[in-house]
Amino acid sequence: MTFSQRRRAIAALKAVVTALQAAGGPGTGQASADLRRLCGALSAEAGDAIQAGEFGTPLRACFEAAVTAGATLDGMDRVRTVAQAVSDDDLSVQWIAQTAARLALAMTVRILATTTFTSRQDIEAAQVRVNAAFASAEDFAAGQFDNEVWRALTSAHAAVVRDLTARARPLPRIVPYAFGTRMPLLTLANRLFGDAGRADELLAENRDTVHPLFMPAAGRALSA
Amino acid sequence: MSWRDEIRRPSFRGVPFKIEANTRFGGRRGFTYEFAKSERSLDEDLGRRVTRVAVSAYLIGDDCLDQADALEAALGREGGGMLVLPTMGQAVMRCDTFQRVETKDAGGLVRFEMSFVRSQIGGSSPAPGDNTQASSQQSATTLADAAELSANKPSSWKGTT
Repeated sequence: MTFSQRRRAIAALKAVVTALQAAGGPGTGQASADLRRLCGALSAEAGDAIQAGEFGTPLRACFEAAVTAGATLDGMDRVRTVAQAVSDDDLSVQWIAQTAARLALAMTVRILATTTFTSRQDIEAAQVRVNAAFASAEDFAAGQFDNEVWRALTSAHAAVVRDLTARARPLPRIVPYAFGTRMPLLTLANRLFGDAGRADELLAENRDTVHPLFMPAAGRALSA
Repeated sequence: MSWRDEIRRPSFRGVPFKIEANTRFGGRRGFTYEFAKSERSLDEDLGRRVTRVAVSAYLIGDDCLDQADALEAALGREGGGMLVLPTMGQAVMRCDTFQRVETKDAGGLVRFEMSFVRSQIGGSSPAPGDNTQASSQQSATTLADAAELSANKPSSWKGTT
């Protein structure tokens, strides 16, 4: 590895670790502390770890810690974007970027498996993102003739799509509603669902509400 | 082989009982047209009628009440269950109605009048779906393992893309 390659590889690794730390959130618990400690250690020893080719295990530990610390789908997606944005065509730099992207995908799958979805649209949106995310990683592994990783990627992709499809089926859709006049939130919930107790759900779907006494006359609601 | 060799111990959903009489109902649904002032008639076959079984059963003995409670619970459970009859085979049936009869002059004897209908829901409850979330988790771990393994092989990361 030349100095220049090493410098670019360290920059890539540091960018990923910083994004990962941000994805874990500014949490205060033990899990967040673990994440910060692991990320800090890896960041400090980035050069040595890369030179020795031993960054895989600590990087994976960082990713696992981020998930434990409560990383969200958006956060993990940003980490993956950072990793995949490395456009160096040197393999020793892509080594870091691709490993990070693969780990980010694995963690995305893990996060999706534990997420509870409330509507079919949410699942469909997640599915579109996952498909786009996997495509380039699969391409790279296939181009590199890395059979094992390619197989693991495709089977994880298949598993997550299957899981999302299976869980989308029983969920309600989000449909638009429109009334002639503005109504208070509770009245609207009662009118739509026959149950004013579901008012919070309605509020969550209509983020542009100014005041719950004057819900927008046209908005979105769950179909069931 | 005599018919006695064919006898099996009757039970529903694994809860045994004794049988006084059992009846199976079958046939075909249809519609019969009789035309006014005509010598002709027409019969339309609309498919097989669902199989029903009526069973007069009883439970006897000192613990007949416990046996009867167990049978009543089995009859009340959701979905179909395996009904085994002494000489009329077995099938997955759902209990449509039942009557539990206890009389004053027959102490220690509980009678059950049960009627069953053939159930398409095999077994007792809908088949449990695959745990797709668990298999998704599993494949995520496999992917992380593969990525780590690949990262620990510096020899495959030489050159340019």
